[in-house]
Amino acid sequence: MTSRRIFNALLALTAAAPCVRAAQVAWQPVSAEELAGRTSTLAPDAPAEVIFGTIDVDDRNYPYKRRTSQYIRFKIYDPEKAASVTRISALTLSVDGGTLNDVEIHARLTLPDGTSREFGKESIQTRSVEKAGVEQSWLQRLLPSQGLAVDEKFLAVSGIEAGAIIDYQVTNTAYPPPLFFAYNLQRLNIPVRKVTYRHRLSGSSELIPRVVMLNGGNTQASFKFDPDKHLVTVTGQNLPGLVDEPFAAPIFDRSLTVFGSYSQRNLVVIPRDPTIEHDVSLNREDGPWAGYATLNSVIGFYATRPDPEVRKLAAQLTATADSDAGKARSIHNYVHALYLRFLRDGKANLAAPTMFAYAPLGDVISFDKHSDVHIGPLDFIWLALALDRAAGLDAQAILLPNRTRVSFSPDAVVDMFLPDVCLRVKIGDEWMFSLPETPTPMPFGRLPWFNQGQLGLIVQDGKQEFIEIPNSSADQSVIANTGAFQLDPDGGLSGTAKRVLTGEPAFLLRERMRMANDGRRHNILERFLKADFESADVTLTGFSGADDLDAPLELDYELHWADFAETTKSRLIFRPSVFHGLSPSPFASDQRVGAVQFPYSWKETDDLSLQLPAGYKLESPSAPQSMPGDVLGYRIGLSYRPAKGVINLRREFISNLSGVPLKLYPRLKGWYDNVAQNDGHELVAVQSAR
Amino acid sequence: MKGLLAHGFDALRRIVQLGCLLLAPALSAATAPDWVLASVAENDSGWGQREAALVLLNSNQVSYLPGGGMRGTKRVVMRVIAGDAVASNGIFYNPNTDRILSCRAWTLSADGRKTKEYSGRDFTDSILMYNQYFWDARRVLGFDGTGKVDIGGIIAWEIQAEFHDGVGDASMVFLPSRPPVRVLRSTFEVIPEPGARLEWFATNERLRSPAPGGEPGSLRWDLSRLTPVAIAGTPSAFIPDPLEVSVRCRPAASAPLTWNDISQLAAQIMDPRVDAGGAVKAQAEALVAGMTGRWQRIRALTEFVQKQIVYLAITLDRDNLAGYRPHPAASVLQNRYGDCKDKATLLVSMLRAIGEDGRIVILVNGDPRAVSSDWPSADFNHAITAIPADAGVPASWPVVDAGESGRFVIFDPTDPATPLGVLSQGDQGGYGLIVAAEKGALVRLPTSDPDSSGLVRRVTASVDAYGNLQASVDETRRGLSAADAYSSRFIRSRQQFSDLLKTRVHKNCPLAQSLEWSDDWKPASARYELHFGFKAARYGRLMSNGLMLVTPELLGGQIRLEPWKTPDEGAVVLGPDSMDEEIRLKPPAGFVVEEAPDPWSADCPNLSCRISYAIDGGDLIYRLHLVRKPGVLDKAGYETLREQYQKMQKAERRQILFRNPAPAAPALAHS
Repeated sequence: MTSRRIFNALLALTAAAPCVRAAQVAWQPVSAEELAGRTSTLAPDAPAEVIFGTIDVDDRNYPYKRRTSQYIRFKIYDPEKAASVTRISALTLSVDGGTLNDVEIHARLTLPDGTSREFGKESIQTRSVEKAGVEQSWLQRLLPSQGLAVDEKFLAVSGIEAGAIIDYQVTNTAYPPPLFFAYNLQRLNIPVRKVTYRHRLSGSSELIPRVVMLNGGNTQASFKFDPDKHLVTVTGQNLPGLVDEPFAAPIFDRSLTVFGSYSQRNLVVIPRDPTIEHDVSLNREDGPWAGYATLNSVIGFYATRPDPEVRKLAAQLTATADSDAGKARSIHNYVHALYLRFLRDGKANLAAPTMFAYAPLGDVISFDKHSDVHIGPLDFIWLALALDRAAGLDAQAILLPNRTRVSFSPDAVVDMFLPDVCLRVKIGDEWMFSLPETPTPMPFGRLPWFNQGQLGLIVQDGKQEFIEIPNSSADQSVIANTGAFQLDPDGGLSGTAKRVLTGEPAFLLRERMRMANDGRRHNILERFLKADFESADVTLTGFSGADDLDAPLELDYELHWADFAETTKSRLIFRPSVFHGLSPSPFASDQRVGAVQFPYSWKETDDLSLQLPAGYKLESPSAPQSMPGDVLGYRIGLSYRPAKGVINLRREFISNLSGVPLKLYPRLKGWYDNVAQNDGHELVAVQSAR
Repeated sequence: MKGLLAHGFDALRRIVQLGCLLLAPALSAATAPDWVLASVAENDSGWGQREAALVLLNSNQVSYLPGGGMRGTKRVVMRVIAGDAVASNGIFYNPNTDRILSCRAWTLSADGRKTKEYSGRDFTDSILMYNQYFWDARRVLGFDGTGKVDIGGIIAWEIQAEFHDGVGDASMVFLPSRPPVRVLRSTFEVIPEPGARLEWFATNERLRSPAPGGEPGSLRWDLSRLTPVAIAGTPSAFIPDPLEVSVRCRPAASAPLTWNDISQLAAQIMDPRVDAGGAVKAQAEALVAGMTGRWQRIRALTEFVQKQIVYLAITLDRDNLAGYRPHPAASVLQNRYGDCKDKATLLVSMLRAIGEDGRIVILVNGDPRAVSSDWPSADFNHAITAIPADAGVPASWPVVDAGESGRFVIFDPTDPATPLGVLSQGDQGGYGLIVAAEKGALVRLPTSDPDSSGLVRRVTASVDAYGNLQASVDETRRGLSAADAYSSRFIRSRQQFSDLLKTRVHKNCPLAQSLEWSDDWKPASARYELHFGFKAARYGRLMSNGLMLVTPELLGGQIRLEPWKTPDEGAVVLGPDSMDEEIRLKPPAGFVVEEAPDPWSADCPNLSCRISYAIDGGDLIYRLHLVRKPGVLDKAGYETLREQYQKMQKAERRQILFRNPAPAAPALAHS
C-alpha cells in the first residue's frame, strides 16, 4: 500500500464549525423603482433582466453533501420571450431508490401594481423523466429494481404580466457532490445587474479546495477569499446577456464563471500487486500542479507495470519497423484502432466513471472477452505507454487542456482544466505526440486542434513541469481543389474535380465516417461536397484515404452546374472561381460582442481550368485583387489562353490566425468581405463574331 | 418504527432479488423466439445494404378488448449493417391510461452463435416531450440496442401493452420513420371485440385491400420493401403520404360514426370549460372599454389572448380525456399561460362575455390533407377559433361558410404574430371541425389569396463611376406575407434582426456597409413595412473598355425550391405569394445603358411572372411582377413550378451593361 501527501500551496484551511440554517422562505422587499421599470437598463431589447442574484454554496459537510441556495430576482419585460425564466425545471437523481440530490423551489410573483403571490410546494409538479422500464407483473411489482431514475420538479409561474418581478429561491442538496463545480454567473440573452456568489468551502484538513474566477477582468467582478471563514465571494455587476456569434470562444472563456474542485490531501492508491510499492512525497516547491501530475503518474506506474503479454505484443508490433518513428507509429496505429473498435462495439458505455482506476492491460488488449471489467479511455493511454516503453522508446503521458471547453492558465489550479491525456514519444532529438485515445481518427504525430496551442503537464512524480504544445501550421491542414471544366453556351458548367484534404478537415470527415461502411461513406462524402455547390449536381466517383490515417483523404467527383453562368443576348457572365465563387464571408454583422477565435490554421488551394464554349472569347478580362500576407493571405491569379479559349485560375487562401481581439474585428471583417468580393469576381465571354 | 419496518422490508426485498439474480441464468435460456428467427431467415437480396440498418420485420397486432380498450403487440427485427446504425425502438404510451404488459429484446451475433435476452429493467422509460412548452404524462418505453451487436448482428424487440385512451383509433403508419431505415416487411393486424366489426380508413391505394386476419372479423395489412423519406432530394415543404391505416371497432349493428358525433364528443369535453363570467367577463369588458366598433372590440380580445397568454401545455388530469380537455377559461386567464385549446377556450369565453359569440375549431395543423371528410375521427392536433362574420368583414379575411350555423371568421390565438384577419399558414386549406353540441360542422378552412398577401418593393439605387452602389429599399408586405415577416422580426432582438438583414444584403453585395433600417407593424391592416438603406463598394464591375456590369438583383433570399428526387408519394404544400418590385437604378454620370435584357415572362398553373426593363430619364427601371397561387402540389406540378422559378431567377440575374462613351483612363480604379 502506498500513501502520498500532497501539499496545497493555494489554500491552507482549518475545519469550520458547522452551523444549521433554519429552513424558511423569506422574501426580500421589492422597491418601487424595481416595479416601475419597463425596459432593461443594460439592454433595451432584453425580454428579462436579473436585478440581483445570490448563490450560496455550502460545503461544510463535503464530501457527504453540498447545499446550493439561489435567490434570483428577475424583472420580466416580455413574458412571451422570457419563457426560459418564467418556468423553472430542476432534476433530481436517484439510484435504486437512493437519492443523489434534493431540490426545493419557491417563487414569488409581484405584479406591477405591487400585489404579490407566492408559489410553494403546492405549485410544484413532479414527474419521472427517465427510469428503467418495468413490466407490471406481480413479480416486478414485488421486486422493483429501479436503477437510475431522473425526476423533474417543475414550476410555471402563473399570472405574469409585462413589468412583473419574479423572485426564485431554489435549493439543491447533492449527496454526494461531485469533485468539481462550475457556476456560470451570466445568462443567455438576459443581462444581470448584480450577482453575488458565496462558497463556504469544506474546512476538512484532508481536502485541498481550489477555486478560481474566470473572466473577471472582462466584467465588473471581484474575487475575495476569507481564510478564517473558508469563504469565497465573487461579485459581478452589469453583466451583459451572452450571445451566440460565429467563431466565438467557448462560453467559459467569455463569461464570468467560478470553477473549483477538491483533491485529497492524503491519497491512497491500492495496487493490484501488493508487493510493489511506489512512494512519492511532494514539497510545496514542487508547484501547485505537482499533486495532480503525481497522482496520475502513480496510477500510470501501476497501470503500466511490465507484463509479458505487453512485451510480446510490443515485439510483434515493432518487428518490421526500421526506426523508432516506425515503432512508435505502429504502436499508435494498433492502440488507436483498438480504441476505435472499443467505441464502435459500445464497450465505452461500460467504462469506469472515474479516471482514478485502471484495468489490467491484458484485459484492455482483449476487451471484447472481458465484459465484466471496467475499461475506460485512459486505459488505452496506459496500454500505448506500456507498449512504447516495452519497445524501448522513451515515452511520457501529458495532461492536456481542451480549448473547446476553456482556455488554460497554469495559475488557475483546477484539475478539470486538464481533462485530456496524450503521449509524447522521443524520436531522435524530438518529441512526437501520440493520441490513440480519441474518437477522431488521428495519425501518429498529431493532436486535435483543441489540444494545441497551450501548455501540457507532464505526468511525472515530483516537481511540476509544463511543456508547450505548438499549434499546427496552415500547411498541415490543407484543402486542395483541382478541376477541369467546360462552359457551354447556355451557361452550364460541367467537368471533373478532385478535393484532397489533409490535417483537421480530413480528421473531421474521418470521424463522421468512422463507423460507416463504404456505401454510407459514399453518401456522407457526397453530401459534404454538395454543401459547397448550392444548385449544382455533384456525383462522387471515388474516394481514398478513409482508413489510412497517414494518407490524405482524396475525393473525386463530377460537377454539373446548369445555371453557372448568366447569359445575355451575346454574352456569358460567370465567376471563374468555381470552388469559391459563391462562398459568403462568415462575418455578416458589423457588430461584435466577443473576440473571434478560429479553431486552427488552414490553407486552401484551387487550381482549375475552364474551357469557354466554341466561338466565345473573353471580353476585356480583368483579374481580382490578391491580398498577400503571412497571417492572413489571399492570392488569386487568372490566366487566359485566347487561342484555346481556356482560363486558368489559381487561388491560395491561408489563415494562420488563432484569436482576434474584439478591437480588430472591423479589420478582420473587412478582409473577409474583400475575399468574398474577389472570389465573386466575374468574367464576361462574348461571342467572337461581335 | 415505520422506518424500521421499511428497512426490514427493503432488506427482505434485496435478499429475494439476489435469489432471483442467481436463478436468472437458469430461467432465461437465451434463445430468440421463432418469429425472430423466421425474419432473420428472409433474404433481402442486398436491397437494404446502402443503409446503416435494415428492419426485417415491423409488426403490430391490436386486439380490441371486451369492455373497451386495446391490447397491442409490437415486434421489430433489425439487422445492423454499418457501425453507425441507430438501433433504438419502442412505443409511446400514457401511464395514466395505458399499461405495459411485457417488454423484451434480443440480440443475435452476426455468426448466430450468441443470443442475449433483455427484459424490462434494460428498457428505458422516458417522458416523450422534455422542453419548456409541454408538461404532460406521455412517455416512450424503448430499448437502445445501438452498439450491442456487431455488424451483421440482429436486434429484436417485443412490447405488449394495453391502451385505454377510448377516443383515438388504432392506427399504423407504414412509412418508416423511427428509425428512418428501410423496412423489408411491415404488417398490421387488428382483431375486433367478439361480435363487433371493424371500420377502417387508409391514406394510400396500396392499403385498401386488407386480407382477413387469423381471428374472426380481423383484418391484416401487409406491405413489403418500404423506404423512409430520403433526406436528400426531398423538397423542404414535402409532406409524405404516411401510408397510414386507421381502424376502429364498432358494435355490429351500429351506424357509422359521423362528424356530428365527433363534434358532440368534443363539445362535451370542451364546452364546460368555457366561462363567460367572473374574472373573464371583467377582463374582457376592461379590454373593450370605450370601444364601439364590433371588430375593434373583438380585435382587442384576440390581441390579448395572442400576446398576454403565453404558450405552455400542462396536463395534470389523469383520465383518458385529460389530453383533450382545456383548462377552465378563468384558470387560463389567471395563469396567463395555456396551450392551443386553452387559448381558444379563453377567447371564446371572452367573446361571449362581451355579448359576442365564438366557437372552438379543431384541426390538424401543418398538413391540409391529414383530415379526410370520409373518416370522422378525433385525431386532431390543434384548436383555433371561429367568430361569427358580418357584412363588415373585409373580403380578404379568412371566412368559412358553416351552413345553418352561418359564416365565421377563423382566427388562431396561439400564433402570436398573425393578426385577426389573417389565418396562419399551417391552419390553411385542410378540414376543421367547428365544435358544437348541436350544429357542429366540418368545414374546409380558407386559403390565403395572393391578392391579399404579398410584397411590394421599391428600390432607388445609384452607381458611381467606380461601381460603388448606394441603395434605398422600401418593402411593404400585406396579409400572410406580412405576418410571416413580422414573425421573423418578433422572435429576434433588434441586433439579431439587424444581423439577419445584413446577411441577406451581403449575399449579393459582399462589400455592403452602413446598413440602416427601420420597420413598422400594423396588425389591424396586416401590413409590415421595412425600410433600409446601404452602400456597397464595387457592386458594379467596371471593365477596361468602358463597360460596367450591374445586376438589378440587389437582394438575395428569394425562394429556392429543392428538386423533387424522392420516389416517395406525397405532396408539397405551398402558400400564396405575390411580388411587385420596381428598381430604379441610376447609372454613373456620363454612362448610358449599353445592353438591357429582353423582357421575360412565364406562366404555369401556379405561377405567373413578368420581368421588364425600361429607361426613364437615363435611369434604368427594372420591374418584376409575380403571382403564385397557393396549392397542394404533386410531383409533376411541383417540378413545373420549380422549373419556372429557376428560369425566373436566371432572368432576374441577367446583367445590365452600362457604357461610358468616353472612358477615362485608368478604368480599374477602386474606392
